[in-house]
Amino acid sequence: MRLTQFLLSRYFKRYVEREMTHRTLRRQWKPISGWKEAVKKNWHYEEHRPWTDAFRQDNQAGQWHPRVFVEPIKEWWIFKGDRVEVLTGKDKGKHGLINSIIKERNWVYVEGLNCEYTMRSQSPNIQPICMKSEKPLLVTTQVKLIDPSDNKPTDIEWRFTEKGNKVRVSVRTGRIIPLPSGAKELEDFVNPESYTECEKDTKDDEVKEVTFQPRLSTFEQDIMDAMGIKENRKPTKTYWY
Amino acid sequence: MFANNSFKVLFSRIVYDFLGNRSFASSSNLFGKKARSPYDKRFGIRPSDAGPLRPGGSKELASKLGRGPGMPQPVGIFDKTGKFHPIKEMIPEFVVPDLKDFKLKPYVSYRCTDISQSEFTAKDLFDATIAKDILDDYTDGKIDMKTAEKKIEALKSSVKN
Repeated sequence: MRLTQFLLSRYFKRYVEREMTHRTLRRQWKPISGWKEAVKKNWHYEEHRPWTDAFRQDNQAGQWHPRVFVEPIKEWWIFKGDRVEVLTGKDKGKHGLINSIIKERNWVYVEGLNCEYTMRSQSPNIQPICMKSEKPLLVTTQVKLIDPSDNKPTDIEWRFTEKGNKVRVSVRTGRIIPLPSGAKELEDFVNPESYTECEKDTKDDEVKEVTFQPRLSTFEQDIMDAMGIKENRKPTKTYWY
Repeated sequence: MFANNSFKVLFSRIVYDFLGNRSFASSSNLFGKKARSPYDKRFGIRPSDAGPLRPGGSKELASKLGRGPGMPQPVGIFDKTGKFHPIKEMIPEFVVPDLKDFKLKPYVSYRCTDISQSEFTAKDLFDATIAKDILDDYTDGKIDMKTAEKKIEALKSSVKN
């Protein structure tokens, strides 16, 4: 039974669920059936993360968005920090590094590419400033990984090495494409290898230390023995029929 | 009856009010949302009616009106006269052991690797605690009906007491 991974992943998911549902979904009182929990299934994902205010505004009650069809991807082959070629748009043929990924929409943002330029000014009198912002690209069709051997875009397959490691292999040349540092990043954007431990963190050896001693006593009895609590009162008679 | 001038005025006022655009209470109005705002007049003001999410309400006002969903339970009983009698057993008492030399901290570092453990079953507990004693007794020859009966009688007498 794997303990640490399970606990870590549920912790962040619970946080995200709480942030999404808090103040957006309120339970309703129904006269006969009682409190009815509001359950929302059609969440609408855009560039904003689920715990942001903008996401909450997008998903307010009464908001309608056209239905979005997303191709389900079982195993992601692209990670943050991967070098990638853009296949469509103005920046067709250009190479770039991946900034961020939005799995709910199969979107990928490439640094500095596929941008839109908007002129924004604080007031009508002030001269407008040109703002550059990246637009998302679809992982399945608009972006491809680059084969390091010939710097050209390829499709990849997941294969196993002799040692048993899972690697990405370019279908065209057979060259192994190494995983970037972003592949080890967890859901909450923390890279465990480069994580600096704080005061409130229990370390690996402390977690793995086994201090359990099997005893034939209940939890309450154990506490009483440990704390020196003595119970001399006799419980009153109870009856069950 | 109609001789009194003031009564005439009152009667005509009532009639004109009725004929004018005053709404009258019907069953369709009594169950709607508007009938319950600011509060349901049939029942009186509840703490939730003066809550922070209601118009004209606030957390402080709701707390003055009584116990709401986010407020703690009273730690005693209010008697008929309204006097409060605190009950010691209703105050929660946290039994916390001494945390000196306690290595576990509130959070687990991201660097910890996965732990895989088998389930600790009742059989494992038995093997760890009693199994050895039973085996020793059996090898020594202490396990027989007479000693077992004596033990059962001893247990019965202790339960009675």
